[in-house]
Amino acid sequence: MFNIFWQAKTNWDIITPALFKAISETLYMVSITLGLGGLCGMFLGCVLWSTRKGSLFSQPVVYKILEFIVNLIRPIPFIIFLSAVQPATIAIVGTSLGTNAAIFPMVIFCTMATSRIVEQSLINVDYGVIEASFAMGASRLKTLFEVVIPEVLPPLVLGYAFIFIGIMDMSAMAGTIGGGGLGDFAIQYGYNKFNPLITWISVAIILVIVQFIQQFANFIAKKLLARN
Amino acid sequence: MKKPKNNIVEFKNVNKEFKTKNSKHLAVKNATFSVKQGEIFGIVGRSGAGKSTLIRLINGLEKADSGKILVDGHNITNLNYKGLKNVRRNIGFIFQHFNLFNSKTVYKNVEYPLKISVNGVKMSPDNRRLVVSKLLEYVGLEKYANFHPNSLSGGQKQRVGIARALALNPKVLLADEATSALDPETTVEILRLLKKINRELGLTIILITHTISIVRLICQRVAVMSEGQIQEIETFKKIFSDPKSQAAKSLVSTFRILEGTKTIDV
Repeated sequence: MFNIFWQAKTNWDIITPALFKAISETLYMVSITLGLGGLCGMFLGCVLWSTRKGSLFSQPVVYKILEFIVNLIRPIPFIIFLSAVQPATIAIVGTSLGTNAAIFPMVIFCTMATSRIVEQSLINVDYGVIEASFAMGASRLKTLFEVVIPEVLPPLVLGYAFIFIGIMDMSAMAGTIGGGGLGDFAIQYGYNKFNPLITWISVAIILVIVQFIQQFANFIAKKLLARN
Repeated sequence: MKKPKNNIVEFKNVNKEFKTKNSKHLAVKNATFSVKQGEIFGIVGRSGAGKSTLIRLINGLEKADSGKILVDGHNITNLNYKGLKNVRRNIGFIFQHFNLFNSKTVYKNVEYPLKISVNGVKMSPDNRRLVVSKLLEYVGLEKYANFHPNSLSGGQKQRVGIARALALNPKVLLADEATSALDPETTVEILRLLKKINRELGLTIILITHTISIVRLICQRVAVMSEGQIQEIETFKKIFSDPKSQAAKSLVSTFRILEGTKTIDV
């Protein structure tokens, strides 16, 4: 009954360029998302943390509203979110098809996830160092940027590696709206053609990318931890 | 109204209350006292007596509910955020657990306060280098400039804390249980350093402690505190020979027991 899988013919002349295109599309989507979403998430995470009750800017109402929004969006399955924001995607990107159209919801999702990771990392900072900074007459923003964030850099780096894996996951769904990438490649040439070899190739490439990033993050975090 | 020049810190009927959902706790009750320029003033009392709150009121880490707190002539109870930041630059603070920035080297820790700009003006890098190396030499850590705090001993960490607190050339140094996390020998070393700073730089030091022996070693005058109130303010000698308040009597008697001049069964 498994015969069907082994009858598939792999035409490397078509597959090879398609594979390279898929890899470059994935890397494009992932790096833009990590860059933009990572930055926005860093900002939102800092706002979340510093508006918590008793924190630097202690604005419980602002915190509650932001927390509500983040908690509202985060549990939505990405593929549904992707279609739900279609009007916004069209308004901002100009189209709801293709790689760039996929990046928009990815950035939003990445921002939400990153903000939570950043907030959780910042919570662990020892309040004593914040007090020390205040006692020298430092402002709250200076304290945030030059004391609090540097103190939690190792867990932040690991947090971003974690986010990266989530972005790879999201990028695989871009195929559903014509965004391409390795997920699309696996479905089109592997799943639909009953050719598991192709799927496994994409799996292997994704694993290599993820492992590379994870090991790199571990290395950086370890370097940073050594001094802490 | 001009304040008398020789008082660097003055408290007048200061109250501070902590409120939680179902309880209120008066941490500092009607505190009135003054600290003279150039003295080493001790505040001694048991844990929970309100000492920490009292010392934090001096640089505005806690805000008083009522009363007046004058630091170098500035009433810090009605200062805005910016004014408070400026006053804090004149008040050094050292902590029980040092509160050093672990992500920064010893050098960068001491440099940090110098990099805070006042009205948009910041000290030049060359001047900062000069000040930091002088300070590190002063506290005996010139060889450790590029170390990270976690590779230092407790005594060394507190020396970094002291150098950092001195960086802005403050008028008062507040020490919040600064030696409580240190072993006895290191405690004496740090106390010597504080005394040297007081003598050579003329810096007023206010230190709080639960150990009366520390007070005896370096303080000129002592305030005994219990249950949020200052019970008496006297020289150490007077408190030791003739404690008036119950809190002072109890502190002195405990000190004698630990010292071995009074024996009891425990």
